[in-house]
Amino acid sequence: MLSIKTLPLRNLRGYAARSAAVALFAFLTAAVLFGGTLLTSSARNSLHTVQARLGADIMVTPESAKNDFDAQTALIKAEPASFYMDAAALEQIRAIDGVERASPQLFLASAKAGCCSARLQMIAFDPETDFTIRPWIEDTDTLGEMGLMDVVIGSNVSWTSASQGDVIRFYDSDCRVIGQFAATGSTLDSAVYMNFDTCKALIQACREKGLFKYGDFDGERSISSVMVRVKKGYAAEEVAKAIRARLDGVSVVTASDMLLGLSENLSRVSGAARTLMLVLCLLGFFMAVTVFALMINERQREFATLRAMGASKSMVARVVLTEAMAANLAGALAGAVTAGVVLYAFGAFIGEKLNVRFVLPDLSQAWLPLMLSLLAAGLSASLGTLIALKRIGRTDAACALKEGE
Amino acid sequence: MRKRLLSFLPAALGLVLALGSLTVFSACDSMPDGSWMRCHSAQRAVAVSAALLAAVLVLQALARNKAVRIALNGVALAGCVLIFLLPGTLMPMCMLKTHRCHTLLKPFAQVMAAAIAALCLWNLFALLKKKSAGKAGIR
Repeated sequence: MLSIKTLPLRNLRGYAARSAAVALFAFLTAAVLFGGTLLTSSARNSLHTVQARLGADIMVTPESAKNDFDAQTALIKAEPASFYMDAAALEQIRAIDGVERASPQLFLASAKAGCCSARLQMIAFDPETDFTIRPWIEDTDTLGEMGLMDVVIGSNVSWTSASQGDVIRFYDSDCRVIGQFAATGSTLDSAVYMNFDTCKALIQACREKGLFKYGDFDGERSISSVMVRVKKGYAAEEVAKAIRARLDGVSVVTASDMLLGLSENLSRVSGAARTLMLVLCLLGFFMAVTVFALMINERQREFATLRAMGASKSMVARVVLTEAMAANLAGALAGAVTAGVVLYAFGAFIGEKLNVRFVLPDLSQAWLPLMLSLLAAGLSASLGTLIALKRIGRTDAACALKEGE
Repeated sequence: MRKRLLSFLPAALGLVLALGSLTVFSACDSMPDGSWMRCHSAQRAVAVSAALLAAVLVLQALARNKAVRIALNGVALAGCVLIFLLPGTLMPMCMLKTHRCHTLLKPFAQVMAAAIAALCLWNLFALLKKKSAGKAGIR
């Protein structure tokens, strides 16, 4: 039965093309708003996570490694590499004023896996002095304490594809996977972490297979990098300068240098997303006003008939507003869901193409941007309708009915 | 007429899935030595399963018997579950999740399988709600 309550839905169904046009703008606005907000906030979160995970204020690597390892782009794009320097650098760094802690790391690049072209970066830490990797391990669910031949894999390493059971093979040596780190959205996610003893055993295995090219590597005296934490009250740049002055043949980068590439990409994408969101919101709003103004103008006689049948101005306004809200919210919900599906499913591919690393939040945390996009679509529909509705108030019902007779 | 065309939508999506998994959303390229990466088998399995699924869905759209349509929708639904699980769960893929097979093939197969499954469920729901059975046989 036709009633004032069912009228808006019947109108929407009756004028399907018009309803679809209104819903389409809401779809686009919500998709861009939800997608853009999710993308920029995820990229920002990723930057903060990497910053926290990096843990060190300064990283010292051998200068000879500059062809294999560029600290400024290492967090965005890096090929697995092996490079070594004398461990004497560690003591020299510890003696520098302003250095609170210094811990060595050992790097080894895996050979190409049999399954695919993937090579993994193995990063070993010294459990006694480490302050960068151990805190992550403590925050991760692991199968037990890390011992000899135990590894923790980054989030980009597929546990099921890379290992059989919990065993992953490097240079024909079995390592037990005891855990997997949460994603950071950086190249740290594509590495495998272990202690020094495991790495030395793997280097030996690599040597036995004839794949280790570093003849001057000394198991006891070689390290790949030194991670440095600066004392409170000291500037990382000043301490880095002091290390450069004291040590020859090393490359010294601060954490801010390492994060520069990530933050530059983030601001580039955030700027573009913000502009797009603003343009589409304004466009959506003006389209809503225009479409509803045209629609209300076209439906003057229909509204006049309703008025003649006893409907008050507010009842007519409610019908129009309900129609607008229903069409807009349906379109906006579809837009947000589509953007969500595309981002969650193809996020890694999109990030790669945009050169931005991001870690999307759990679905349970995505409700706030979702609500905000729906609210924006609802608001633009209500405002557009209210502006257009003013016209109804100004038109006399009798005149509208006589028009065209 | 519109309803008739809509009944072919799941089959069309199945065809898009089969073709997409071999072209735009294909798995990783071959290795420099010419051998295929492990994910290639998963890609082939997805393509073949999707082609079979599309065939089942075409039959489903052509069938007039309610029981046959329900059965074919059930088979298609099971096929969707299979395709959803093929890349990564039932068949291994590459070691790194940054590879094409993880970033393109797997999400594409899963999104499309979920969409087709949703349409099959809708069809099943509509068929089970229908009071009268159609004529037997396939047109």
